[in-house]
Amino acid sequence: MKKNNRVYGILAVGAYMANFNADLSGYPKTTADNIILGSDKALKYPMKRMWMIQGEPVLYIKSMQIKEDKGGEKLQPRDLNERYSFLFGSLDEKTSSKEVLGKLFSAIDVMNFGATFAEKKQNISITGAVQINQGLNLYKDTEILVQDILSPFRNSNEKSEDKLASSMGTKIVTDEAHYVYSFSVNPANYHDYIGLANGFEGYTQEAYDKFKCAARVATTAFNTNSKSGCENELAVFIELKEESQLFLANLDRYVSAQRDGDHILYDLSKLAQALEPHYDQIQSVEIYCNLATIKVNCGSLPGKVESIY
Amino acid sequence: MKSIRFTLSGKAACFRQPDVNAQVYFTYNNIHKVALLGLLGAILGLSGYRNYKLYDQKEPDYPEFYQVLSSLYVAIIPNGENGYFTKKIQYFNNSVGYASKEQGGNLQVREQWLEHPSWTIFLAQNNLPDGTWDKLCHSLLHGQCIYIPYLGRNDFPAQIDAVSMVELTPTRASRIDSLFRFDGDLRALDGGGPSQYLFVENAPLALVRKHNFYEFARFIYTNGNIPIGYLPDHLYTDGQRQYYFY
Repeated sequence: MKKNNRVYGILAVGAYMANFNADLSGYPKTTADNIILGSDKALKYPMKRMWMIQGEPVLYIKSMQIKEDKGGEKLQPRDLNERYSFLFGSLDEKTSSKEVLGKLFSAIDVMNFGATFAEKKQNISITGAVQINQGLNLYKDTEILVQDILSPFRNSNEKSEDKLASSMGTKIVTDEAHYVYSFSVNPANYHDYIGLANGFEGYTQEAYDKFKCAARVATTAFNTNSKSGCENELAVFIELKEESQLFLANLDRYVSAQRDGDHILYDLSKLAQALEPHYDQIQSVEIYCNLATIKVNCGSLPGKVESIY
Repeated sequence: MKSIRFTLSGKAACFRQPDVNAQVYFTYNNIHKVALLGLLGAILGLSGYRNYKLYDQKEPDYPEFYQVLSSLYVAIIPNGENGYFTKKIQYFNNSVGYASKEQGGNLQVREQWLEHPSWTIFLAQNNLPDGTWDKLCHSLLHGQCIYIPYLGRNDFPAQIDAVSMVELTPTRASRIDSLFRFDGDLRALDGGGPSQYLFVENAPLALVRKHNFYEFARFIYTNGNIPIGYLPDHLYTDGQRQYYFY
């Protein structure tokens, strides 16, 4: 079923003794004024992983293959062409762009987040219906902890040949951080492609529902070394009426996160104020949170708070 | 002259400089006219740089947003201290393996971001057809858009606040409170006292037909005085400050 109306919203991720998004130095990514932030990619990655595990076709994700090499068989990441062929069958110079476009849209990540595809004479750039912004850490008391960890091995370089101890490493985490992202879903981004791609009719309710589900739980479900301890805490979905072209930017401006005893309190009362003049264009507001750890002050927002799971 | 004024801001922005991209993508300090027209084009639902072959269409001289909007007059006033915004180089790792032909399949992207940029923007109709101008004003005044406008990267949505219609009159005072083109000798600028500041940047002015390269000009922002002979054309005032339109 085609989805026509716009959605804006908030996604918040808590990181406890974890590093949600590290930069090159291993420290949490920061702005010049030292505010910790998480990129859109950091939030999208667990969603793509979740879809992949559910058996959905996901194009833009790292996958490995065995490559015959002079030195024997080696594990190697697929390139874009190989990944495309792995999912959708062969791609050569003669493949029509319409066919490629249709195949691209059949991948759930492309349907939601768009794609840049430049392979075999194709030059396709799709701005995704779902756009996720940078997520700033809104928690004031975040501390960065550097832990020394002991490696089970001696350093293998020549200088360490006579060393009697194994090498050391570090693990860098934040004691507690709360990343707040805002996002938008604009089905109009695909209007240009309707009729152009084989069998493509625009953004669908099914794709949105899969995004919505992943947005609520994917980070919690994802457990790598640095991201275990990161969990989805809050998800707000503001659906506009079908004809509305209202523009709302950076809704995370209106959110605050602070500790309230055992719970984290997300205050949405400013968001409610900001939305109030536009209620005639808003169809529904849904608020989900982890009821065990989170409290939400909804202010005058309509709709009740439900469990994120 | 009737004009529409608004504040354009965001958490971050990146207006990539196309001429330096070997190791780091650098950004211009300010939004420039071409990027601003692109943003307004998004609001109106005009298309941008697209793959025309995909649509069985002939490559036009300009992308649609530029074709339609380039006759608009704009004035850009940076709201950062002395016209400057904080910048930081952010680092991304793209390890999906097909972002590039890097060895090991790992593309490292270093990109400079403007932080908390904010500009006051004036638009004036100039030669824009009435219908397009009225639609643009209506969309801005009522916070409507077809595509979500953003500041150089689609994860940096643009905030548009304090929109109002303003009446402007032509002036020729010696101080210009917006970015303006200045090809003369920078030493000719005086005044501003001990706190004089001078911000200079070579920034895109327009698009070149067909190939759509940027055409560049030197823009400056200063609290100094500009000698009468150096004053550019198209200066207007709202009764308080003087702005350069281009």
